Amino acid sequence: MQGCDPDEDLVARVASGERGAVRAMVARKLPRILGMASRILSDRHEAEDVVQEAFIRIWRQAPSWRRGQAKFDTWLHRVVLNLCTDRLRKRREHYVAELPETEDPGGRPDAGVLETSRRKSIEAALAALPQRQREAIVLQYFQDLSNIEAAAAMEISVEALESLLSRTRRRLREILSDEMG
Amino acid sequence: MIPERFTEIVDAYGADPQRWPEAERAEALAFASAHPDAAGPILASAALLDRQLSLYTTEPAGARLERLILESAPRRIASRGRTWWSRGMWHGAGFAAAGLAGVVVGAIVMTQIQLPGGDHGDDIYAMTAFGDPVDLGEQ
Repeated sequence: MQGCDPDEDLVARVASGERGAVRAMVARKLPRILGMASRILSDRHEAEDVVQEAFIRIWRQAPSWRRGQAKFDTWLHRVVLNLCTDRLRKRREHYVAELPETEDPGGRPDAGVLETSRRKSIEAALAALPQRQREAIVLQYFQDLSNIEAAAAMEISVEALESLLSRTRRRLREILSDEMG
Repeated sequence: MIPERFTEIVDAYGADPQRWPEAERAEALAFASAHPDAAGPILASAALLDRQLSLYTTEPAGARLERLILESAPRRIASRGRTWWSRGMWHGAGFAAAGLAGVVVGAIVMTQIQLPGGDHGDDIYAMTAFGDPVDLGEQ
């Protein structure tokens, strides 16, 4: 893992204040962490807030980033995960037992209804998972992290991650059984 | 690889070998091709869920969000641009100003100390805890 961090040079350039590097960092990481936060939070606005906060942490951390310690991407995933956890905790405090809003007010009834309906089913299924299961599947499946990277981001062992993933996929199959035929 | 381990891997990571643990990938692939009857149904079931999950796409970031994030980045170029010469110049000016201020303050302090010199007279004893002549006389 050490010595092969594909983000290392970019982080160093961001730290030196290169505007092109800042733009490259946003282009490289924004889609990834926005997708991650959206799937974990099931709320686009909150996800955007989280992503903005995550980038502020990147700008702050870049000058003191030490090469070879941890993969930058793993660190970033952990930051986003923690920010999402804070949001979910606050949400639980304020809206106990309230399910996340999954309606899309901008959706057109005659455009890709089936696909939209399926997407919403998956979104609802993910939202119904316990938080740690949702984090595990988002990191491993949607973020394409390796088992080692996902476990590091969640600060658990690879064995614990694997067990979590098995339970998650089993649960998803149960929830989506109608969709899957 | 034993069949149980193959099942565990697919149950946890899905049907796509690219998502399997790197250390076991080759062995698991070898197992799948050597035992298609055992591996096939396991992979097919996992692939079904993978396909469902792949439908969950998210909207890309809007231009407004991107702009806000870019604006949140500190502009270090400006401060680093004047690192050695301009910062050095300002440091030099700061030292000079501090030195000048020290001279002025020192001169004022010295003047105030010098001016009342010799006028303390006997008051100097009343200002200390040790040399009060009245107390000494009473003891």
